[in-house]
Amino acid sequence: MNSMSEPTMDATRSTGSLVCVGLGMTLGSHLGPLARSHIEQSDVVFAGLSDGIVELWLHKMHADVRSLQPYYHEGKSRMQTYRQMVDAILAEVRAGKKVCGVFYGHPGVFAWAPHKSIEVARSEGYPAHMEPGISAEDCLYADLGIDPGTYGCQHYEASQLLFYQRRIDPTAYLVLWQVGLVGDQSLARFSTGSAYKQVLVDVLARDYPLEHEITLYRAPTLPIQHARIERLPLGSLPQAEVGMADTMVLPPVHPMQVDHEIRARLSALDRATAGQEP
Amino acid sequence: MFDVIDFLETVGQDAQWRHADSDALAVALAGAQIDPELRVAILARDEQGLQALLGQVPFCCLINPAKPGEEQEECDGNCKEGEEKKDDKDKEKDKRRDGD
Repeated sequence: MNSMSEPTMDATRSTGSLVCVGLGMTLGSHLGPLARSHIEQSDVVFAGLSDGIVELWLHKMHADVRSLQPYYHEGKSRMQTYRQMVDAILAEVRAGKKVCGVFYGHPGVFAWAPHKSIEVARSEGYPAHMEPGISAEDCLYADLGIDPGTYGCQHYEASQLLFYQRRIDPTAYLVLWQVGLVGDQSLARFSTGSAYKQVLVDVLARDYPLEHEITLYRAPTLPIQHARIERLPLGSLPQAEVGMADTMVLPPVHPMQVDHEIRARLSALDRATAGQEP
Repeated sequence: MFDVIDFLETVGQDAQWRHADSDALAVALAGAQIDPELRVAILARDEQGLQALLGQVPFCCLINPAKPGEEQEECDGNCKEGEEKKDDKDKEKDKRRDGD
Protein backbone atom coordinates (compact mmCIF):
# COMPACT_ATOMS: atom_id res chain seq x y z
CA MET A 1 0.00 0.00 0.00
CA ASN A 2 1.51 3.33 -1.01
CA SER A 3 -0.60 5.92 0.74
CA MET A 4 -0.95 6.34 4.47
CA SER A 5 -3.99 4.43 5.70
CA GLU A 6 -7.18 6.38 6.34
CA PRO A 7 -8.18 7.23 9.90
CA THR A 8 -10.46 4.66 11.47
CA MET A 9 -11.54 6.78 14.43
CA ASP A 10 -12.96 10.27 14.68
CA ALA A 11 -10.33 12.35 16.51
CA THR A 12 -13.04 14.34 18.32
CA ARG A 13 -14.00 11.17 20.21
CA SER A 14 -10.48 9.85 20.66
CA THR A 15 -7.93 10.53 23.38
CA GLY A 16 -5.06 9.76 21.06
CA SER A 17 -2.07 12.08 20.89
CA LEU A 18 1.45 12.13 19.52
CA VAL A 19 4.73 13.63 20.59
CA CYS A 20 8.03 13.05 18.79
CA VAL A 21 11.12 13.51 20.93
CA GLY A 22 14.87 13.30 20.41
CA LEU A 23 17.04 10.94 22.40
CA GLY A 24 20.19 12.82 21.44
CA MET A 25 23.21 11.16 19.87
CA THR A 26 25.04 9.56 22.79
CA LEU A 27 23.56 7.05 25.23
CA GLY A 28 23.07 8.65 28.62
CA SER A 29 24.52 12.02 27.67
CA HIS A 30 21.91 13.96 25.76
CA LEU A 31 18.38 12.95 26.77
CA GLY A 32 16.58 15.95 28.25
CA PRO A 33 14.19 15.75 31.22
CA LEU A 34 11.13 16.74 29.20
CA ALA A 35 11.77 14.11 26.52
CA ARG A 36 12.31 11.46 29.22
CA SER A 37 9.05 12.50 30.87
CA HIS A 38 7.16 12.15 27.57
CA ILE A 39 8.64 8.67 27.12
CA GLU A 40 7.73 7.56 30.63
CA GLN A 41 4.19 8.98 30.53
CA SER A 42 3.16 7.63 27.12
CA ASP A 43 1.10 4.49 26.47
CA VAL A 44 3.20 3.32 23.53
CA VAL A 45 6.75 4.20 22.46
CA PHE A 46 8.04 3.85 18.88
CA ALA A 47 11.80 3.80 18.47
CA GLY A 48 13.68 5.11 15.42
CA LEU A 49 17.23 4.81 16.73
CA SER A 50 20.71 4.40 15.33
CA ASP A 51 22.03 1.67 17.61
CA GLY A 52 20.54 -1.48 19.13
CA ILE A 53 22.28 -0.84 22.44
CA VAL A 54 20.62 2.57 22.63
CA GLU A 55 17.30 0.83 21.97
CA LEU A 56 17.98 -1.47 24.96
CA TRP A 57 18.44 1.67 27.03
CA LEU A 58 15.06 2.96 25.86
CA HIS A 59 13.47 -0.35 26.88
CA LYS A 60 14.49 0.43 30.45
CA MET A 61 12.40 3.61 30.35
CA HIS A 62 9.16 2.06 29.10
CA ALA A 63 7.61 -1.40 28.99
CA ASP A 64 6.07 -1.07 25.50
CA VAL A 65 8.82 0.03 23.10
CA ARG A 66 8.21 -0.89 19.45
CA SER A 67 11.25 -0.72 17.20
CA LEU A 68 10.86 0.82 13.75
CA GLN A 69 14.05 -0.96 12.65
CA PRO A 70 12.30 -4.07 11.19
CA TYR A 71 10.74 -1.90 8.46
CA TYR A 72 14.17 -1.42 6.84
CA HIS A 73 15.34 -3.83 4.16
CA GLU A 74 18.14 -3.31 1.70
CA GLY A 75 16.58 -3.33 -1.76
CA LYS A 76 13.28 -1.89 -0.51
CA SER A 77 12.56 1.78 -1.09
CA ARG A 78 13.09 3.63 2.16
CA MET A 79 10.20 5.88 1.20
CA GLN A 80 7.99 2.82 1.67
CA THR A 81 9.75 2.17 4.98
CA TYR A 82 9.14 5.73 6.12
CA ARG A 83 5.45 5.54 5.19
CA GLN A 84 5.10 2.27 7.11
CA MET A 85 6.64 3.98 10.14
CA VAL A 86 4.06 6.75 9.90
CA ASP A 87 1.26 4.18 9.49
CA ALA A 88 2.39 2.23 12.56
CA ILE A 89 2.59 5.36 14.70
CA LEU A 90 -0.75 6.76 13.50
CA ALA A 91 -2.56 3.46 14.03
CA GLU A 92 -1.92 3.73 17.77
CA VAL A 93 -2.83 7.42 17.87
CA ARG A 94 -6.13 6.60 16.15
CA ALA A 95 -6.68 3.80 18.67
CA GLY A 96 -6.75 6.45 21.38
CA LYS A 97 -3.22 5.89 22.71
CA LYS A 98 -0.83 8.50 24.02
CA VAL A 99 2.02 7.84 21.62
CA CYS A 100 5.66 8.90 21.86
CA GLY A 101 7.92 8.61 18.82
CA VAL A 102 11.54 8.51 19.95
CA PHE A 103 14.18 9.25 17.35
CA TYR A 104 17.93 9.49 17.65
CA GLY A 105 19.41 12.98 17.62
CA HIS A 106 16.81 15.63 16.92
CA PRO A 107 13.49 14.22 15.70
CA GLY A 108 13.05 17.00 13.16
CA VAL A 109 16.51 17.19 11.58
CA PHE A 110 16.99 15.09 8.45
CA ALA A 111 14.02 13.01 9.59
CA TRP A 112 10.98 12.58 7.34
CA ALA A 113 8.80 10.22 9.38
CA PRO A 114 8.50 12.32 12.57
CA HIS A 115 7.48 15.44 10.64
CA LYS A 116 5.02 13.47 8.51
CA SER A 117 3.53 11.69 11.53
CA ILE A 118 2.84 14.99 13.26
CA GLU A 119 1.43 16.51 10.08
CA VAL A 120 -0.96 13.60 9.53
CA ALA A 121 -2.00 13.44 13.20
CA ARG A 122 -2.78 17.15 13.25
CA SER A 123 -4.71 16.94 9.97
CA GLU A 124 -6.93 14.33 11.62
CA GLY A 125 -7.51 16.50 14.67
CA TYR A 126 -5.14 14.83 17.14
CA PRO A 127 -2.84 16.87 19.36
CA ALA A 128 0.69 16.37 18.09
CA HIS A 129 3.98 18.16 18.58
CA MET A 130 7.76 17.76 18.59
CA GLU A 131 10.34 18.24 21.32
CA PRO A 132 13.88 18.95 20.10
CA GLY A 133 16.91 16.85 20.85
CA ILE A 134 20.67 17.15 20.49
CA SER A 135 21.44 16.40 16.86
CA ALA A 136 24.55 15.16 15.07
CA GLU A 137 24.89 18.72 13.82
CA ASP A 138 25.11 19.99 17.41
CA CYS A 139 27.78 17.39 18.23
CA LEU A 140 29.68 18.32 15.08
CA TYR A 141 29.96 21.97 16.10
CA ALA A 142 31.27 20.95 19.54
CA ASP A 143 33.69 18.26 18.38
CA LEU A 144 35.10 20.12 15.38
CA GLY A 145 35.16 23.55 17.02
CA ILE A 146 33.03 25.13 14.32
CA ASP A 147 30.79 28.10 15.00
CA PRO A 148 28.23 28.39 12.17
CA GLY A 149 27.91 32.09 12.95
CA THR A 150 31.50 32.88 11.98
CA TYR A 151 31.34 32.31 8.23
CA GLY A 152 27.86 30.81 7.83
CA CYS A 153 27.15 27.14 7.23
CA GLN A 154 25.24 25.39 4.47
CA HIS A 155 23.77 21.95 5.04
CA TYR A 156 22.63 19.57 2.30
CA GLU A 157 21.71 15.96 1.98
CA ALA A 158 24.69 14.90 -0.17
CA SER A 159 22.63 13.42 -3.00
CA GLN A 160 20.70 16.67 -3.37
CA LEU A 161 23.90 18.26 -4.69
CA LEU A 162 23.89 15.69 -7.48
CA PHE A 163 20.14 15.52 -8.21
CA TYR A 164 19.57 19.26 -8.33
CA GLN A 165 21.43 22.38 -9.36
CA ARG A 166 22.32 23.89 -6.00
CA ARG A 167 24.34 27.06 -5.39
CA ILE A 168 27.26 26.46 -3.04
CA ASP A 169 28.77 29.40 -1.19
CA PRO A 170 32.48 28.46 -0.83
CA THR A 171 33.03 31.32 1.64
CA ALA A 172 30.91 29.43 4.20
CA TYR A 173 31.19 25.98 5.75
CA LEU A 174 29.53 23.23 3.73
CA VAL A 175 28.17 20.19 5.60
CA LEU A 176 26.97 17.18 3.61
CA TRP A 177 24.85 14.44 5.18
CA GLN A 178 24.38 10.81 4.17
CA VAL A 179 27.56 10.87 2.06
CA GLY A 180 27.91 7.09 2.41
CA LEU A 181 25.06 6.55 -0.03
CA VAL A 182 25.52 9.63 -2.16
CA GLY A 183 23.89 9.39 -5.58
CA ASP A 184 21.47 6.58 -4.73
CA GLN A 185 18.39 7.38 -6.78
CA SER A 186 16.59 4.19 -5.82
CA LEU A 187 16.45 5.01 -2.10
CA ALA A 188 16.86 1.26 -1.66
CA ARG A 189 20.59 1.00 -1.01
CA PHE A 190 22.44 1.37 2.27
CA SER A 191 25.67 2.45 0.59
CA THR A 192 27.09 3.47 -2.78
CA GLY A 193 30.59 2.88 -4.11
CA SER A 194 33.59 4.99 -4.99
CA ALA A 195 32.29 5.84 -8.48
CA TYR A 196 29.33 7.64 -6.89
CA LYS A 197 31.61 9.50 -4.49
CA GLN A 198 33.72 10.50 -7.49
CA VAL A 199 30.65 12.16 -9.02
CA LEU A 200 30.25 14.14 -5.80
CA VAL A 201 33.93 15.12 -5.92
CA ASP A 202 33.51 16.26 -9.52
CA VAL A 203 30.54 18.43 -8.57
CA LEU A 204 32.37 19.91 -5.58
CA ALA A 205 35.48 20.48 -7.72
CA ARG A 206 33.53 23.25 -9.47
CA ASP A 207 33.99 25.28 -6.28
CA TYR A 208 36.86 23.65 -4.37
CA PRO A 209 40.39 22.50 -5.29
CA LEU A 210 40.90 18.73 -5.04
CA GLU A 211 43.53 19.27 -2.34
CA HIS A 212 41.06 21.19 -0.15
CA GLU A 213 41.02 19.51 3.28
CA ILE A 214 37.69 17.97 4.23
CA THR A 215 36.64 16.27 7.46
CA LEU A 216 34.68 13.05 7.82
CA TYR A 217 32.76 13.16 11.07
CA ARG A 218 30.62 10.71 13.04
CA ALA A 219 29.17 11.45 16.47
CA PRO A 220 29.51 8.66 19.05
CA THR A 221 26.34 6.73 19.91
CA LEU A 222 27.90 5.03 22.96
CA PRO A 223 29.65 7.02 25.70
CA ILE A 224 32.69 4.74 25.50
CA GLN A 225 33.33 5.76 21.89
CA HIS A 226 35.17 8.70 20.45
CA ALA A 227 33.87 10.79 17.57
CA ARG A 228 35.27 9.96 14.15
CA ILE A 229 37.27 12.96 12.99
CA GLU A 230 39.27 12.13 9.89
CA ARG A 231 40.81 14.78 7.69
CA LEU A 232 41.70 14.14 4.06
CA PRO A 233 41.96 15.95 0.72
CA LEU A 234 38.69 16.29 -1.20
CA GLY A 235 40.17 14.33 -4.10
CA SER A 236 40.71 11.30 -1.84
CA LEU A 237 37.06 10.94 -0.89
CA PRO A 238 36.28 8.10 -3.37
CA GLN A 239 38.91 5.90 -1.67
CA ALA A 240 37.75 6.70 1.87
CA GLU A 241 35.56 4.40 3.92
CA VAL A 242 32.32 6.29 4.50
CA GLY A 243 29.42 4.77 6.41
CA MET A 244 25.76 5.77 6.48
CA ALA A 245 26.27 7.71 9.73
CA ASP A 246 29.23 9.74 8.46
CA THR A 247 29.05 13.42 7.65
CA MET A 248 31.40 15.44 5.48
CA VAL A 249 32.52 18.97 6.32
CA LEU A 250 34.20 21.38 3.93
CA PRO A 251 35.63 24.57 5.46
CA PRO A 252 35.47 27.82 3.49
CA VAL A 253 37.92 27.99 0.61
CA HIS A 254 37.62 31.74 -0.11
CA PRO A 255 37.38 34.76 2.20
CA MET A 256 34.07 36.61 2.35
CA GLN A 257 33.94 39.53 -0.09
CA VAL A 258 33.10 42.98 1.23
CA ASP A 259 29.94 44.46 -0.30
CA HIS A 260 31.11 48.07 -0.64
CA GLU A 261 27.88 49.27 -2.24
CA ILE A 262 25.66 48.05 0.60
CA ARG A 263 28.11 49.26 3.25
CA ALA A 264 28.06 52.75 1.67
CA ARG A 265 24.27 52.65 1.65
CA LEU A 266 24.19 51.70 5.33
CA SER A 267 26.67 54.46 6.16
CA ALA A 268 24.45 56.98 4.38
CA LEU A 269 21.52 55.72 6.42
CA ASP A 270 23.60 56.12 9.60
CA ARG A 271 24.35 59.74 8.69
CA ALA A 272 20.75 60.49 7.75
CA THR A 273 19.35 59.04 10.95
CA ALA A 274 22.07 60.42 13.29
CA GLY A 275 20.46 62.30 16.15
CA GLN A 276 16.95 61.12 15.25
CA GLU A 277 16.96 58.06 17.46
CA PRO A 278 15.82 58.36 21.10
CA MET B 1 22.12 -8.33 30.60
CA PHE B 2 20.86 -4.87 31.44
CA ASP B 3 23.61 -4.16 33.98
CA VAL B 4 25.81 -3.08 31.14
CA ILE B 5 23.15 -0.63 29.96
CA ASP B 6 23.02 0.90 33.44
CA PHE B 7 26.79 1.20 33.33
CA LEU B 8 26.76 2.89 29.92
CA GLU B 9 24.04 5.29 31.08
CA THR B 10 26.13 6.18 34.14
CA VAL B 11 29.23 6.77 32.02
CA GLY B 12 27.21 8.84 29.53
CA GLN B 13 25.82 11.21 32.11
CA ASP B 14 28.73 11.55 34.52
CA ALA B 15 31.30 14.29 33.89
CA GLN B 16 33.96 12.17 35.61
CA TRP B 17 33.50 9.21 33.27
CA ARG B 18 32.18 10.48 29.93
CA HIS B 19 35.61 11.35 28.53
CA ALA B 20 37.64 9.12 30.81
CA ASP B 21 40.67 7.24 29.47
CA SER B 22 40.75 3.44 29.48
CA ASP B 23 42.51 3.24 32.87
CA ALA B 24 39.81 5.34 34.51
CA LEU B 25 37.13 3.35 32.68
CA ALA B 26 38.65 0.16 34.13
CA VAL B 27 38.28 1.67 37.60
CA ALA B 28 34.63 2.46 36.89
CA LEU B 29 34.07 -1.08 35.61
CA ALA B 30 35.61 -2.57 38.74
CA GLY B 31 32.56 -1.56 40.73
CA ALA B 32 30.00 -2.79 38.18
CA GLN B 33 28.39 -6.22 37.91
CA ILE B 34 29.30 -6.87 34.29
CA ASP B 35 30.32 -10.07 32.51
CA PRO B 36 34.06 -10.36 31.73
CA GLU B 37 33.43 -10.50 27.96
CA LEU B 38 31.44 -7.30 28.11
CA ARG B 39 34.18 -5.69 30.19
CA VAL B 40 36.73 -6.50 27.50
CA ALA B 41 34.53 -5.04 24.77
CA ILE B 42 33.90 -1.86 26.77
CA LEU B 43 37.58 -1.32 27.53
CA ALA B 44 38.40 -1.91 23.87
CA ARG B 45 35.61 0.60 22.98
CA ASP B 46 34.43 -2.09 20.60
CA GLU B 47 30.90 -1.08 19.62
CA GLN B 48 30.30 -3.97 17.23
CA GLY B 49 31.63 -6.50 19.73
CA LEU B 50 29.38 -5.07 22.40
CA GLN B 51 26.40 -5.16 20.03
CA ALA B 52 27.06 -8.82 19.23
CA LEU B 53 27.40 -9.77 22.90
CA LEU B 54 24.08 -8.05 23.63
CA GLY B 55 22.36 -9.79 20.72
CA GLN B 56 22.12 -6.68 18.58
CA VAL B 57 22.84 -6.16 14.88
CA PRO B 58 23.94 -2.88 13.25
CA PHE B 59 20.99 -0.55 12.71
CA CYS B 60 20.04 1.44 9.65
CA CYS B 61 20.01 5.06 10.76
CA LEU B 62 18.68 6.66 7.57
CA ILE B 63 15.42 8.52 8.07
CA ASN B 64 15.52 11.16 5.39
CA PRO B 65 14.98 11.01 1.61
CA ALA B 66 17.32 12.94 -0.68
CA LYS B 67 14.41 14.44 -2.57
CA PRO B 68 11.56 16.44 -1.07
CA GLY B 69 8.83 14.06 0.11
CA GLU B 70 6.30 14.68 -2.65
CA GLU B 71 8.79 14.22 -5.45
CA GLN B 72 10.34 11.16 -3.83
CA GLU B 73 6.88 9.60 -3.49
CA GLU B 74 6.42 10.00 -7.25
CA CYS B 75 9.72 8.16 -7.76
CA ASP B 76 9.33 5.52 -5.04
CA GLY B 77 12.27 3.37 -5.95
CA ASN B 78 12.26 4.14 -9.64
CA CYS B 79 13.29 7.73 -9.94
CA LYS B 80 13.99 7.65 -13.64
CA GLU B 81 10.41 6.67 -14.32
CA GLY B 82 9.19 9.22 -11.77
CA GLU B 83 11.22 11.99 -13.32
CA GLU B 84 9.93 11.08 -16.74
CA LYS B 85 6.40 11.30 -15.37
CA LYS B 86 7.27 14.67 -13.90
CA ASP B 87 8.67 15.77 -17.26
CA ASP B 88 5.40 14.71 -18.86
CA LYS B 89 3.50 16.80 -16.34
CA ASP B 90 5.73 19.78 -17.08
CA LYS B 91 5.11 19.32 -20.80
CA GLU B 92 1.36 19.24 -20.17
CA LYS B 93 1.66 22.46 -18.16
CA ASP B 94 3.67 24.05 -20.98
CA LYS B 95 0.98 23.01 -23.45
CA ARG B 96 -1.69 24.59 -21.24
CA ARG B 97 0.40 27.76 -20.96
CA ASP B 98 0.86 27.82 -24.73
CA GLY B 99 -2.87 27.50 -25.12
CA ASP B 100 -3.59 30.44 -22.76
